[in-house]
Amino acid sequence: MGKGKAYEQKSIDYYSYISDLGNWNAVYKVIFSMGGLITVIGADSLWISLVTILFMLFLSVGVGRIPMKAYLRLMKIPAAFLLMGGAAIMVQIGRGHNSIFYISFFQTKLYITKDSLLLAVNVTLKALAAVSAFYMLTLSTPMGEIISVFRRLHVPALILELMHLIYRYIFILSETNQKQKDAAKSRLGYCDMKTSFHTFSSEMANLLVLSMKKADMYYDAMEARGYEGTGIFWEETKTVTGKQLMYGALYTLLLMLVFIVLRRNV
Amino acid sequence: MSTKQKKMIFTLAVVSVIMGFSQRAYGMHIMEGYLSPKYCIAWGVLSIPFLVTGYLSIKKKLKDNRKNITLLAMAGAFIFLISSLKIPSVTGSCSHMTGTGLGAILFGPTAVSILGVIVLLFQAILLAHGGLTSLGANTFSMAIAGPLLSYGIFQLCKKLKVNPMVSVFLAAFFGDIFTYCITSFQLAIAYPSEEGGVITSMGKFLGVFAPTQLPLAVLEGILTVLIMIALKTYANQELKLVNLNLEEN
Amino acid sequence: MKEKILEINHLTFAYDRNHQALKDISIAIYEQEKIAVLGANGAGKTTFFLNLNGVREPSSGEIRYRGEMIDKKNKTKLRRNVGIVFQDADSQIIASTVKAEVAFGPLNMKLPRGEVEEKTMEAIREMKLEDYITRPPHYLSGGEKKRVSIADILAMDSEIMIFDEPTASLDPVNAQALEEILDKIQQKGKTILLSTHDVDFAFRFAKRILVFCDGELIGDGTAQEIFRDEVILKKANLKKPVFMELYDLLREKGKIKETTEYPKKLSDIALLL
Repeated sequence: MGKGKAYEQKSIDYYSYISDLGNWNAVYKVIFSMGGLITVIGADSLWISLVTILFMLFLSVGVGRIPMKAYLRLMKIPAAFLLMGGAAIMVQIGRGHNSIFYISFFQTKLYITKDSLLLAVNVTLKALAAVSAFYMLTLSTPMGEIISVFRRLHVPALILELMHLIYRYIFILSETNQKQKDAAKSRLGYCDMKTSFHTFSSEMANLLVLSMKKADMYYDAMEARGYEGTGIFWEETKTVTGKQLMYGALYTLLLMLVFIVLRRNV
Repeated sequence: MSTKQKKMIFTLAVVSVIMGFSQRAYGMHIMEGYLSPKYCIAWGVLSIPFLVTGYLSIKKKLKDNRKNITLLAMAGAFIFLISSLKIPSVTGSCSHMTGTGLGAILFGPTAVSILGVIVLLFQAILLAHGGLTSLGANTFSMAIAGPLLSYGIFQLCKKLKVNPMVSVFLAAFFGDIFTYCITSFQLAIAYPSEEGGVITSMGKFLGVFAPTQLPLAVLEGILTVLIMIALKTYANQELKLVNLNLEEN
Repeated sequence: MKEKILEINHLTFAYDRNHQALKDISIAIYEQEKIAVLGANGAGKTTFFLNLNGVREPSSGEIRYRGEMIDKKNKTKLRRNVGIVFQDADSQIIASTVKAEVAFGPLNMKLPRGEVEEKTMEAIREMKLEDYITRPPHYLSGGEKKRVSIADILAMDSEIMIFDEPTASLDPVNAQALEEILDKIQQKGKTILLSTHDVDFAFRFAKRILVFCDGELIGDGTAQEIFRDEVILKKANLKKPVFMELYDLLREKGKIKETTEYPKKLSDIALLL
């Protein structure tokens, strides 16, 4: 149980260090991924969404060599939201004159129309396409590089530094909590509901106190290495290659093709 | 298939979908790509004044004492962690706290707005909860509205001399409920109903997420109280550290 | 006589008014020394190190770096020339990849990019971390993290390198490797200060030993002098190194040749038998 959780928590981050897209230029990847994202939500078109889902799958799994199984598992993360949100969009309440399907619900009716069904499908696919486009970036770009892109966007240095530190501390705290949890389990801390609640809360309180105490020492350690109030971090320079540009061009070409075909049919 | 059978199947399907996917109950992050560009931008813009206020207050705290940077970062990491950890639950399905109320009570709403937006970004990047395009909307509901209400309730209860643990519960509980309502509203104006528009639609979103979000809010309240009790048992030294350095005056 | 790097005169440090963590410490540290710092937990070793590096400012007393008085303005001199490898590598590592982590110090020294790269890679090669350059610290093992934290300081090329309980959480293989690394660093002309609870390790490694007890420096001398001084050993609750006791025992029974230099290794004993 604990292992599974840790695995899930690390997974996206973990792949960003092993993906073959890892040596792509980070700024280029951000533009690529954001371009896809914005096109998908801006175009609001079923076909654009489908093309994006497939192309990003091809990039992440085909070119980046993220295992297919892992990719599909990651795509399932937002499933709950998609299904519930989709249901809320699809199902209408009221008289339901042009419904294709309905059931009575107390005084009123729950029904689905052709439009609402289409909308739900469209929104779901759009969301999945957006997720795929974002995964292309997050599954291949280590956090340090993502933060360096924020630096180029002139996000204040203070925020960047907080991001660097928070990222690092998340893993430190998570490791500590894993140990706490194992120790608590070994002493029957999770034997029943009530005990679990108490154990969990004590763990959290303990973790908070511990982290606040550690924060002081961590500052010392930074200062000891010449930190003077502004965190400067090493950024690797990765060049944009022709090959990288080619994939971008290919995606743009596909999108343009879809637009042209859609125009003709309208 | 008769209409009756169809209806049966439909009802069953709806119930099983809701039950089946309430297995993992997180705070209600609006996912990537769910909002159209105008809402992505609108919610982002609406969040800006709060974030600027938060940024300035953090900047001042760091000017007072540079060492606060590691404390703030730890607080941020803690909020991330608490919102990603599975909590023990009755039905065997797993839930997660949002940490909104606890964060607001411990660190104050202005610090939490900045930490919150970073945590939400990290949740999108590391856990695929929420997303980049929906960051504005999620920030507004989870890092601004929820914490502000929690903090307000907590302070109000303090003035009215309500039992501290009751006020902690109320702050955490209503912080969650408020976040859930705002998120439903955000979804509703993006996807109004064919009949009845935004209001009906909001009802639908509230309804469909209720089975996961209502128990979560109660749980959040209880756990926040237990955590605060546990914290109180520590020497006040550490608590003072948190309050002195991070909480606003 | 080797050049003096640091001179500390009457250094006192207090975290709060009631408790002095360091009391009136006076000491000088020279080039290419191998110093072990002994003492119980809470005796003031770590606080002493932090003062040497300028992270903590003495409540009273002075620190001179190559003759120059250190005050608020030039304490960066200390930070650049005295590096600390913290006991818990996790408390030191802050960047998101090994390379960025090692580059943190050189970057803070405001070196040009090329030089940062050079020093970083040199330290990484020295610590045999080439395969981990793009790896984030949270996917490293304990021993690997320790090596990263040492590379951190190596990259800064400080004259004095301080190791706070370097062997504390290492397995025997890693501890052995660490000793070799320490020797290598010292041979490159650095001064090493390390704290440890392992008297055998201290005896084997150090030419000079400092003993702390309740914030006071109660012993400063060669390894032989310190470990022969029953008063100091008793006060600081220290045991004698095994080889020293073994030698004494053998000598008492007349089974070993007399020598002025205590044996530090098994092979030293074998030579004397």
